[in-house]
Amino acid sequence: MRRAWPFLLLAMLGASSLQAQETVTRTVPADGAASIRVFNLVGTTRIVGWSSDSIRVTATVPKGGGRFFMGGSVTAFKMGVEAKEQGAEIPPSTLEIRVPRLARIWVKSATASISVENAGGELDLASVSGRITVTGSPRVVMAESMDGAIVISADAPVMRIKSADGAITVRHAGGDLTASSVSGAITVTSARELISGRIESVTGRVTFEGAVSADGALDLQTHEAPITIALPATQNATLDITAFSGKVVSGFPGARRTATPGQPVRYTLGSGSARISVRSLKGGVRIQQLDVKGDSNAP
Amino acid sequence: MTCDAFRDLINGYVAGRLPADQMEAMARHASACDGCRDDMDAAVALAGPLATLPRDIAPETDLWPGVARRIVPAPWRQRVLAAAAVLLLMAGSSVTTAVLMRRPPSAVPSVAGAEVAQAIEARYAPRTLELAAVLDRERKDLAPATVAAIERNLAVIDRAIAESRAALDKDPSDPDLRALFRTSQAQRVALLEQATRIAREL
Repeated sequence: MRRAWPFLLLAMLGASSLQAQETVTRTVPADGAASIRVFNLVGTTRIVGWSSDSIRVTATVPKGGGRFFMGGSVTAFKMGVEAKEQGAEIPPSTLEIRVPRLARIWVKSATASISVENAGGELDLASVSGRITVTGSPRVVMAESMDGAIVISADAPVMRIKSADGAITVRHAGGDLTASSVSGAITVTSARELISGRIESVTGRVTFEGAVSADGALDLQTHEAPITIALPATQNATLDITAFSGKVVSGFPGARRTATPGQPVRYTLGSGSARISVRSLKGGVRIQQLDVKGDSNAP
Repeated sequence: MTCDAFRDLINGYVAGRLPADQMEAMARHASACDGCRDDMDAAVALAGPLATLPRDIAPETDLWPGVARRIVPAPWRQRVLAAAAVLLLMAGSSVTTAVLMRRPPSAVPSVAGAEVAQAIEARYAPRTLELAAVLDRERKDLAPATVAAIERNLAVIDRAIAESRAALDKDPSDPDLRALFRTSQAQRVALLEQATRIAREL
């Protein structure tokens, strides 16, 4: 009997917690490429793409604190959590939303984390300090945060990622990518060849690991943080590197270096077809070779 | 025309020495490419003082703070203009020294550097001040933590602007220094845009 006490206590606490929450579930028909706007400022928003032409929302809101709302039909929807009275604090709420995989998603949050899984449409995600994560193969990803981390593990042809303090991690980058931060570190791993890329930070470390297409262009820039570029052994590229007060180091076997006074340091790999431009006022620059598994092989 | 080709021909374009078809191609490219247009503005700004000013002329007074004071309320304006004050402190910084050691600066008078920086800054200043004014109005609606994050990041960017401008003043002909300065300006605009969006939408 004594052993049962902790379980009884937990059960009572759980019941109490459940009573304090209000869960609303709604399912509505939706166009396969519907536009969906979501406002959930505090808590968690999880969006999952599915193959059904419908939207199913499960909203969990603290009882008495806030109110779930939803409007729109078939092609356009708006939903979120608002305060019960104007000016009142909005409580932390959880939204779990199943959407047609190709839906266009727009999410705004203050501190709420935003997670989008199995997405195939256009995504526009913004948070002040919540974490943003994306998986799937969305057509376009636009994500911005002031000081929350952004992790994009998606195969998207177009990405526009921006943060101030928050770190940016992009896996499977390809196509057209812009990533920018003020002080957050930026790490980009390219699974297929990048066609056009611009990665810049003021004081955040920048790391690029992957390939650039033969006619592609990649710009990397920091004000005072180090930049590391790891390229596959088969990469053909011309790298023009300007590091005003940092060192430029190559660990890439066979890279042909040309240094002319008053000009950027130039490294040529293979035929030199792709253009890679690297600038830093105070940071150093390192180029190195990726090993066959895609991990950088630092000398 | 590619950006690289544009940069190769920019001095000939500014001096009006290119054939008509190339002049036209240059103008077309500049109208479609912000970065190259900035470079062209900078080259024009550089060519003007070199052609007309004696080398020992004293720098003119910067009128911008006075103009800004009239059109934008404090305190965001002070933040935006803080970079200008920091410039004075940065004039002899280690970064500037490193720039000079790494790359011999072109033999141009320092007033040309100020002209180049001002030409780039002039492109971003109206938008920067407009956004700073909006943010100043909306500031009361933002969470203190958000205001702190904006302030913190603006300070980082302002420092970068001051340092890159000090380096540019020493070698205004360096395209990489111009690019760094231009990027810092663009980053400040981007942060202010992000901040005003937060204020408007949340």
